Amino acid sequence: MNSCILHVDIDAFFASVEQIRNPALQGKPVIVGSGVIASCSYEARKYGLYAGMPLRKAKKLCPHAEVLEGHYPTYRCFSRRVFECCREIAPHVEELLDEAYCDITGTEALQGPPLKIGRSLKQSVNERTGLTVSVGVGSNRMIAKMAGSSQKPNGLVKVEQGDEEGFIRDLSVKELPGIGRARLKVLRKLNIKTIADLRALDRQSLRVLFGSDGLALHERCRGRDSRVLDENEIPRSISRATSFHEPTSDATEIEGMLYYLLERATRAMRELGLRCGTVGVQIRYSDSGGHQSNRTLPSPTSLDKELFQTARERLWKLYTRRASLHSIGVKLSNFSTGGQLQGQLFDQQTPDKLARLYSCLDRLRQKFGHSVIVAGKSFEAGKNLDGDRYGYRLRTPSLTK
Amino acid sequence: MQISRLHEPIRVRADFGPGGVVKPRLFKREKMEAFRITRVNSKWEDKEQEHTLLYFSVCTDRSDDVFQLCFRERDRTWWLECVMMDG
Repeated sequence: MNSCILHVDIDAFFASVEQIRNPALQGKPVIVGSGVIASCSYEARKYGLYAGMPLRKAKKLCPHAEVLEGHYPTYRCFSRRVFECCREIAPHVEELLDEAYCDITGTEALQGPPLKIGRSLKQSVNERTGLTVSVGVGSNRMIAKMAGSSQKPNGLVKVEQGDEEGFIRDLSVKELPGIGRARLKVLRKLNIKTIADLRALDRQSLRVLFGSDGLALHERCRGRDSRVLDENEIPRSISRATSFHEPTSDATEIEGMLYYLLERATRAMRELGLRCGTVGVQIRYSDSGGHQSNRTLPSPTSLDKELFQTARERLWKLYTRRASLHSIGVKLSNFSTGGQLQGQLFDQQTPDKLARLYSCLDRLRQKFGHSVIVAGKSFEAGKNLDGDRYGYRLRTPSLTK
Repeated sequence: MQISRLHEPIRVRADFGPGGVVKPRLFKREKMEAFRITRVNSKWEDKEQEHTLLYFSVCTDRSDDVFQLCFRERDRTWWLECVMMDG
């Protein structure tokens, strides 16, 4: 049976939610984010704005844009409704932040052809949330995503079985999953601009250029993608970062914020049933660029206490100048699943006891909101911050995380 | 655009229809006249424990501001969460 995947992408997600909540914003350029653009409306994109652009630059390009800090818990409510619609049409759905992959293989007899399914999905999403989505249909997840991206916003595109190579051959190589900025630079030097150009390279050459990822690229530039839908995909890393309202050199405030961000990251990690093997800390001085440092742990752990010890040590290794900090972040990576926790021989509190404690905290926060229990250290960070049941209102919340 | 977060208890007249459909009609802040709701811009749901929180973004007859109301199913109370103002 030929597989059939639907890629559903919410158009300009955060900005669209803001336009729905407030009709005065409809038809206007809207930016969501602080520090950098997390999302911008299509009206703002006409001025050359894009996600990831520094706000200072965005304001120069489009001075009359409405800038909003954003509220992630509200966006999550909207995405949940969109994913509910997806689950009504597909037995298998992989949910990401503002997009979903729906496996509708074998449902044709029940629901009709894929384009009809796509159309009815778009309609039900719009009726229930007011949002528009772009839908791509293809034989694998890569083709489905590329089909959806080819007609935005509010598009519906299907790439027929067997037409995959023809559909992607004239597209730019940067459209191919796995080609980031660094790889694009390498390919530009080789005068490779389109996916058809990339096809001229054999397996061996791609392997030399990009290691084992080169073999995957060899398949992808031919329209083949063997990645299966995964409802619980393991992320490569989980990061939480923010800038301070005012640059600070107060050790208590800095450590407090580090602990708060770490708590948020570890909670997300434990929800996925993961333990991390590497902890990273990144800082940015108020007068210069950023610095970061990672440390691989002796054994993977999911315990805040152990991770904070390493993160704290990294922080003070990085923070050596007598200058105030503009921002701070924490990154967990190198994940593993399952297995028993490795204990320390002379540890007072056994890892099992701590694991039970954190699992209890997670359940409480799941039920009543993150702010129901605040750690003493995090409390120091929150002294100058507003908050609600979801947590502190940070200056630059990681909206995309 | 300015957003003023209030989380203020309010009194609301609303229609409760079959299937859990709630439609706010009018709300009253303390020591103020009633605001008649002219339009529900959008509504969405969140969870607090096992209970539902219903959010409504509404326009009123009294100003151009947009109000965000929250109905807490657990104790059937209404809250004015925030006001979005121009300027």
